[in-house]
Amino acid sequence: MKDKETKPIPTSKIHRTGKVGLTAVAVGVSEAKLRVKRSLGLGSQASENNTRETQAEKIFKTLSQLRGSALKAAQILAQAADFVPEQYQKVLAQAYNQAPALNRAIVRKVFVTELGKAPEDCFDEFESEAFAAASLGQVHNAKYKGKNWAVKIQYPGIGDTLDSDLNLIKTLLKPMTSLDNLQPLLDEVHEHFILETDYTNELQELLYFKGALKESLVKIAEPLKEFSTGRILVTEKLEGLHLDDWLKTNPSQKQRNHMGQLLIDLWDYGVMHLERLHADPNPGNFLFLPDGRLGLLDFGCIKHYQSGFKVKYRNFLEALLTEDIMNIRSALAAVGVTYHDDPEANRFLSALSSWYIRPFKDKAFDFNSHHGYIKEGAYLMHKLHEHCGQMSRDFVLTDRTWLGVYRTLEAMGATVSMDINRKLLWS
Amino acid sequence: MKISKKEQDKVRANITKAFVELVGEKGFRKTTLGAVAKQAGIGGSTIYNYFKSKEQILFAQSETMMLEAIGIFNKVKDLESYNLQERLQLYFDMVLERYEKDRAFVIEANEQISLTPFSFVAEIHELKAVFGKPINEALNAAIASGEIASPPMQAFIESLIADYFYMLVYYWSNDKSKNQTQSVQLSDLSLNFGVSLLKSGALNKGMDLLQFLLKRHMAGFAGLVSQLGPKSCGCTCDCHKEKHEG
Repeated sequence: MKDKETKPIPTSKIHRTGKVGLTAVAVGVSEAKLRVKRSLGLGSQASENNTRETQAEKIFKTLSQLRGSALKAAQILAQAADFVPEQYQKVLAQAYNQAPALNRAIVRKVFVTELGKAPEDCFDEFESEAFAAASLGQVHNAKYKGKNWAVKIQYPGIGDTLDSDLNLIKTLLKPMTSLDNLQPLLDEVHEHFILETDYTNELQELLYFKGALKESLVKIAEPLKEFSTGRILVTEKLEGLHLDDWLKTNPSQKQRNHMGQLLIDLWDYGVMHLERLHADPNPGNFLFLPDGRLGLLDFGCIKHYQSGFKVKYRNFLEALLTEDIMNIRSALAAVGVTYHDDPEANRFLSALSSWYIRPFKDKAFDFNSHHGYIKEGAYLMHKLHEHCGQMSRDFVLTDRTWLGVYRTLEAMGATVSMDINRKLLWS
Repeated sequence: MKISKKEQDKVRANITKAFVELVGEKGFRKTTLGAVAKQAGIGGSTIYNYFKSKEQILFAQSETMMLEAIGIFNKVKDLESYNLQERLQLYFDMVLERYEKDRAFVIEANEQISLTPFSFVAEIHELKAVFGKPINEALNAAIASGEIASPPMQAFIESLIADYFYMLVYYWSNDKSKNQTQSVQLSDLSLNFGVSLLKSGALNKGMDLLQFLLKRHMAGFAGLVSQLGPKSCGCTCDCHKEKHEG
């Protein structure tokens, strides 16, 4: 395992508040300066971008020092918050692989508290050095009954500061967006965080997807229930490559397309059939298996939809295909999303709708030859968000997760079919 | 009637068990030796064959608990491969785990000791010696492996670490979080800080600075004294004269 950051985490509320407060003031002041400059017609786009880069750096430094729940919330926001300028998103996304390190004393402590015995007394072999960092802890290799296992262990008390952290993040993002629009996302983050810090919930989700998805297409690790608790999750170690390593093997276009189709169909199948979505499309959560199957990891962030969402969502996609703004507005209202009725909002809504349906219109959409497509979508979502009247909690993560899947497809250089009437591989 | 060593140990164990229960329930002050004897199922005067006072039981039990924890700690596999922070953290965790089993008693006992520390100087010293041994071993191992440089006044540092643990026990005794996770975090973060300080060699450097200042000042002070002497200051008072003549 690489050397991990071991700076102490500020624990007291005063300390944490102080850190965010100072950053928020600094960000707020520079944002205000930008606005004044803009209103006076001074300053260039380049200098505006530079200022935002500097602000983003300040936010990142603060969040990476707070870590714990603040970091996790930042990760979800980085993935979901299109209203946050691109520069901020880039910096927040860097936080993905950082978590407080658990030394051997803490690992043992977690085991004794959860299972009443030390890890070496549970497994035949247990590697004391973690092989990967998870957002809320770290993962160790272990051997038990002749099999290799991945043991995910959570840092003790990581969720204790969730509420105060979310308030701090709210303070931090205040200069950039209205709280009305931010609240549904923060509520979503809150709910997900509570679920994600409970590994028994993740185990249930894993078992659900294992039963719901075809084993011929996907490999989901077998859990070891005997040693899995709320803070420890033991699953079979899957042998496969992460995206970057897979790409280094120079896969053929056919392989790229196959894996890409699996991925996009998985997303569609989750939303439109299961009404349950693997809402963390971080490339680290997919494995490319030698037998052409997709390995799915980490079931901590699963979105459950209210019953009937799949019908409403399909109506929304069909409304997009009509390219009629009134139809689209009405379908969006049915899922709980409204935008202000003004020409500018209509302009962005229309542009975003065209953007949405572009892949659906083609028989096959080549992400390799549409560079800038995702960036354009993120920009339009960001602009349209400024005209948002009401945002639905169901819609907010769905949309952003979709964008995350697109990013992975782009990195894969895949060509996939997105026809809404196609037969999904998973069906 | 003479009883065997085995039976004596059994009675002793019953007394401490009863004492721990009563102190945990009623508090130290309200616990009497008579009540302890009754709960232990022995006669009111028999208890004096084993313990002369409540305080004696309290310290005996504290030492027993500590020795139990040390016994488990010393059996940890690959302990020699643990770094200084891990080793200290594991040790403190294990003592706290043992304390957790008799939480109410430990809290009451600590409060009692902290109220009148000067009454128990010898007992506290003895307890500290037992507790300090693994700390001494951890520091020596870290020095031998080159993890830290030999710190100045090592005995003093060991004593500081022991005092730090008592602060940790105080925090733990007030920790209302589930499974005392806040105490776990505090121990993790504070030890991380302390060990980083030892690793940085800041203490050695601080000591060098102190020695330099002391030597310079001492030298300067000595020079000043000699300058103030009668030979150079021209002072003719009797006291100086006597000293100079002497």
